[in-house]
Amino acid sequence: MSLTIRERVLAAFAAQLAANVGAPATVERNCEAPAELEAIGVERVIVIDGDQEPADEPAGMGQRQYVLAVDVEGYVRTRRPNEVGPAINALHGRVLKAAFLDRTLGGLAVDVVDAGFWVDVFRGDGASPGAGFGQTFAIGFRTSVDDPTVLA
Amino acid sequence: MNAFAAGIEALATDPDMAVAGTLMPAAGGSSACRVLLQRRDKDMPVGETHARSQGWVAVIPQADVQTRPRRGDELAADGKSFLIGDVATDSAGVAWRLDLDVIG
Repeated sequence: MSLTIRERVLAAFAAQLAANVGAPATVERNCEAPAELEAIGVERVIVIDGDQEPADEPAGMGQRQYVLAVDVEGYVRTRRPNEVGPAINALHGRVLKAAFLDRTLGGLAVDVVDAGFWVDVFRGDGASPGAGFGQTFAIGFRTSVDDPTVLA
Repeated sequence: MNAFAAGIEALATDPDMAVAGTLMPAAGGSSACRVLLQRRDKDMPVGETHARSQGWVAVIPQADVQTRPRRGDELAADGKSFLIGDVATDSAGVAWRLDLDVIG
């Protein structure tokens, strides 16, 4: 069975993050929720498949262009409260850098762009400090009008 | 020794329930103790989602550790290193109850 271009784009994006975000972060795709933070110092990045819509701009003859939303969540736990802000911002920066390293995802995509971000620091309940962020990316890609498994 | 202290002593000497530990105050030094360990995870709500922060609780007989442990001290037990968070005395006043996080 041929993979759709959507699936190939999502797999390539997750692989690009996994290869380039760097230790100690682990990168997973669509893992079960909630994310488990086993220990102080753990960093987790989760890539979540999102919706897709036809793009506004016209594609070439016989082509269809789409914009695919991908949500990336990142989590950290730190030893001290004053470490959590720098840790979550550093992880976010590494995710952005990895996502934009190859905006074509090996020739599968037209572009990868930033489409929104939130961050939240967790305090309380006796737990060690932690934080999480959500970063949305919009990924453009083109397929044949007639076949979503054919790159255009 | 009152009945509560005898009870915690019995639990802490049961090899199936307790493990050997070492308490390491941030100020320095260390002391051996017996530890009753149990998992206590915490929900970590962040933004539009949440994560699970794995945590542990340790109960240590005050007979083993006379000085109250403090937040930021460390405990080694069961092959793990823990950072001590909240410290409380149990309701009978015979053991320390410690909130722990594993140090990765």
